[in-house]
Amino acid sequence: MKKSEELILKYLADLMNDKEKEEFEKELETSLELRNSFESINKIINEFSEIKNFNLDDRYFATLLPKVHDRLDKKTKFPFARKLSYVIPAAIAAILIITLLPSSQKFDERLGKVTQELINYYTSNDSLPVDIDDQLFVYQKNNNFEIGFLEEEPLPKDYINKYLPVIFEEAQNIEIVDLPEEDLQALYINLTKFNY
Amino acid sequence: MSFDNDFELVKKFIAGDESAFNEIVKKYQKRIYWHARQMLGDHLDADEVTQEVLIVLYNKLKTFNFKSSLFTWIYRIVTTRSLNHIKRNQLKKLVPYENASDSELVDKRDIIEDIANKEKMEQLNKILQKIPPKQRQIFIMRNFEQLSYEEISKITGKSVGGLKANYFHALKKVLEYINEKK
Repeated sequence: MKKSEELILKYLADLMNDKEKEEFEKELETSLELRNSFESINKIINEFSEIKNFNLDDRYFATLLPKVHDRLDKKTKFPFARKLSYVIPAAIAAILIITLLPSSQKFDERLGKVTQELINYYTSNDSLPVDIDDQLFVYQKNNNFEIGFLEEEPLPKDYINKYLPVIFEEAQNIEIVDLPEEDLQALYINLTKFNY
Repeated sequence: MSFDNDFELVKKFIAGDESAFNEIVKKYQKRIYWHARQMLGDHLDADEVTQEVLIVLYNKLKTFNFKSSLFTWIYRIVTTRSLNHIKRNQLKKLVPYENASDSELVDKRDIIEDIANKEKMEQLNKILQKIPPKQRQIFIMRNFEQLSYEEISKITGKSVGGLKANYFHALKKVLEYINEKK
């Protein structure tokens, strides 16, 4: 990538300080080459904003709500079965992970720390129950942070570590600095054995 | 798009008016779909995520605390769900027995109406899929939704500085891909 292109991207991403920005804008006015590059990059980027003008088939959206209501109805009819379908593999995964991984005590400690970080992360922005996955989420209750199922039944604190594999799947979404890559990989390899 | 009556709709829904939920869905369904579509690259996955988001929305709307806009709240669910779906797809690829039949059942259906736009979308999608998911997310929010860094920060919980860096890297990937193709 050319130096001038990198400068353009820095400008577009608003990564320049005021002085750099001023110098860049001055050069943009005087250099035809830079201006041409700038315009061609902008043209490419603008193509992505034009996507919103693409017409979508309204028949799809007409059937969306009925499909959603249908799925919601099924969920309310069989909530316990659905819950069990998550709990059993999660529990098996937890047991396997604890028994398969070396130095499990140390690992458990780290996982405990990660859980706390995860809870802090999900609850730092506001006090909404923030969805983690279909089966689990963190929410705030009487100034305490709880982990519960979608149906909002609180999960006893002792169970948090047991259900970590499920919660942990979400950890990839956030930047956890304390967990070494090899532990993450080990956990992932174990998770692939189960069909959540 | 006006967000003015969103809080009213949420209040109505909490009070038991189911039609308010339908109104919210009608208002935001296309934006939910488009984000998922660009993140995931095909209609089937986007459809699945859109449905999941609406289900979560229905189940959690009563806990909405009116501190952020409804759009920010919905977008937070969409972004998380889309990233989760990508991760699940990656996990599925690691499990050979699951994949064998999946690839044969791929539905080529699409809901983009115009053929030229469909082709255009395919081209843009090739570029989008070259960008790592978290950077892709920022790229879509900047260019498609045209959100400010501050708005994206409210949705993702990431610092503005981090978002700028992510966006810069996404732009770099786009340009590298275009330069390769030349």
